Amino acid sequence: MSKRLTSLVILLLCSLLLTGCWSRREIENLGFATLVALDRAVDGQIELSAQFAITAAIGEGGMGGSGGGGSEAPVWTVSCKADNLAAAIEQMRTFIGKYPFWAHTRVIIIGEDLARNGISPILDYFIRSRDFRFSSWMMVSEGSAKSLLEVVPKLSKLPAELIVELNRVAQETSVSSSRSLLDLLQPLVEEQAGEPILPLLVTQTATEAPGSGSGVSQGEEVPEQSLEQNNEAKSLAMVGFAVFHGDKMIGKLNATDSRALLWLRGESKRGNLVVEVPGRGYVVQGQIYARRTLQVSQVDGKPRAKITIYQDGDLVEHNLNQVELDSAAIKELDGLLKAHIQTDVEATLQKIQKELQADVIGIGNRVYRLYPELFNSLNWQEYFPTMPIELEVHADFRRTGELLQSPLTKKFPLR
Amino acid sequence: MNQQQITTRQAFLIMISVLSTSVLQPSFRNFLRWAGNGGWLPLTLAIVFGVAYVWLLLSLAKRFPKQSVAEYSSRVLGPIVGYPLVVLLVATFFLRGAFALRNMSEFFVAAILPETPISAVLIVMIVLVTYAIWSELEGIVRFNELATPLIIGSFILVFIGTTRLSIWNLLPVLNKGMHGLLPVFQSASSDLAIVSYILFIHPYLVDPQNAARVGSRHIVNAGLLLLFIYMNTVLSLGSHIGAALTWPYLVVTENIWLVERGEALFMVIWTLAAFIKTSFCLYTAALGISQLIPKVSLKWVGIVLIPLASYLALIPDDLPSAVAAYVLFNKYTLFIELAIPMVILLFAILRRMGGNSREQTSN
Repeated sequence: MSKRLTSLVILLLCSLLLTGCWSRREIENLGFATLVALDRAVDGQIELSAQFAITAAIGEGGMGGSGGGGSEAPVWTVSCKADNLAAAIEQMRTFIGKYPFWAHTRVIIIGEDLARNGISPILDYFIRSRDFRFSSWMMVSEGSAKSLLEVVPKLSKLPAELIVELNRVAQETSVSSSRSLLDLLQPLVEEQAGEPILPLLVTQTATEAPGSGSGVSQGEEVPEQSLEQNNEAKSLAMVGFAVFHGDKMIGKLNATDSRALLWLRGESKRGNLVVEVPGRGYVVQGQIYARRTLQVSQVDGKPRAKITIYQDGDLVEHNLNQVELDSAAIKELDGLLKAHIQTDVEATLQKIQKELQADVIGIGNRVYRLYPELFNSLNWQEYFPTMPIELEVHADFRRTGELLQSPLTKKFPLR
Repeated sequence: MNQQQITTRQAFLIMISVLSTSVLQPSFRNFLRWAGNGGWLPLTLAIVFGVAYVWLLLSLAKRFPKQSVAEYSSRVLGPIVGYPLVVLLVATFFLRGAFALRNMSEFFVAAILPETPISAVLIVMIVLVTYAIWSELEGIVRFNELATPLIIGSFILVFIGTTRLSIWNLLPVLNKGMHGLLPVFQSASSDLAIVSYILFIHPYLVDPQNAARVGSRHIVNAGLLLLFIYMNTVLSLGSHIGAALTWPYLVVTENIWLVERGEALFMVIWTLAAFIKTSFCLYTAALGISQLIPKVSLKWVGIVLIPLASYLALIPDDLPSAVAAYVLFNKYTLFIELAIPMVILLFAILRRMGGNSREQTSN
């Protein structure tokens, strides 16, 4: 009897533990944020815009999804202004009537104006909060970040999905590269880790949509119908980098500079490269492989750097009046390719050192790692623009695709 | 004394679970804060210390093969000195258990259950730890045998999945200078010195002749695990960011490519390790008291100790205070856990007690 009684008491005690917890969040009470955009409002406040997924509409294939017949947009864009991010989120919560669930936020876009004024005040919340993830991608928008949320994607269901895809493509074409919150944090926290860069997100407009970028006031829902009408001509593109000095954005790098910067950083992946052949036409190389080595040395008490870029790829197209590309021709093209890369990279290096004066390559970090005393004896900000950086490029065409001859050129010579 | 029997392997394997809970301790970031990139150096030295310490403990335990430290210390040093020293040793295990409870609860609340009162997590732990103590030594070490492969596997998976490993993060080697190395050595050695539990459970070993070999091997493994966790964190985050985060290794885990949001799974495994550590520390404290006062039942001592440990765990008002208290405790525990066996061994040798001496055979 006593054993039964004990078992009963234990069971009753266990049932106390099965009632759930204080921190429970029922799924119907959550608003799933997919995209966050941050801008600096005119009065200096932070303007937080977030896109919440309307899960039922995602299934129906709204907003330009593949189905095309959906009537409701799969996202709801909401905007709020406040002095700080925590207050803006709190305000947003009162407006949306749900608990914003940020763990699915894959992209955080920072408006250019906010980026130029310094991003450290907004980062504290993202780093401290356990809801946001360090793997979230950080980007800077050209102009207002909120206006990017108005773009209606054609081949993706959600704008966040589109940006994720753009990010992938930008990496594959080496016109930009993704940066997570953690990637951004390292150069900001470590004094010697160089300057941060973030991919640049721009809108590309076929026909300029009227009133774009300023249609939403505080706590106001963006009308879906007008969104689609105004923005169906817009698309997004991820091209280039926003360059920071500390936590403030100081400039931009275009696609060509970004490609060169990725070579310099050893992060270049793929992409086509058009090489002019003087007086004869052009060849296009599809880059397959690229890496770099960075060597720093100490000469006369000053650091020097040597960057060697190794690059190769396939010839994917040419318009030369040359039927067969033999070894000699390939050697000649290799030389032109090398000179082309060298010119591009030197121009970018010049821009980084002289114009932007921001060590986005991470040379200072390498000097610090290998010669910490030398690094500490220098004012790196002053030294970097004048630092001698030697550049060496090894570039090769490896294959010529499925053609060793150009049969069409043989029959129809280019004029 | 009860008649439980465990193998030396089971006895020392518990060190893996104990050391793996470093990832849940906010004080782990101190390794990065104090020693920067050079933390591997004192951590390696701590392993050497660990091996020497195991040798010291077993040299003492082997002199009194069928007795616990609670029994022979009073004979070697006299009851006036012997008993208080054992009580001090018991207290370190009790406090280790209390800190483990607090650390685990803080981790749970901060990482998973932000609105749940810490006391609610502690109540759940009280129930579980009580059950573990009632399962006694055999139950705990067998459960640990099941959990250890999961624990080791979790760290290997995180390492394989880490996306940002950079060997450059280890340079410059001593970026924080030499002065940070000693506190790290002290802290890591103190973590390893928990192996002093062997003085209490040595009489239950079925194969004490293997203790030196098995003990050395497992203390090296446990130390290497700590080093491995440190290296993974530094190579991934760098010492600057790592030192700023409350749970740096959790951030490493959040960023692995292998499993999306895999940290949820790993957190469960580490919680298992923390449960084992808490249970084992409080069990050792209860065992020590029951060995000091033979008429008192170990299980009932456990029943009293667990709520007491929970109460102590809640005394620091906030997380920074709890971390500061733990750092202070860890600093002085090393001296206690090192000095007590040394003193007993020294007096045993001087007084020719234990081992092959006449005193031992008379027992």
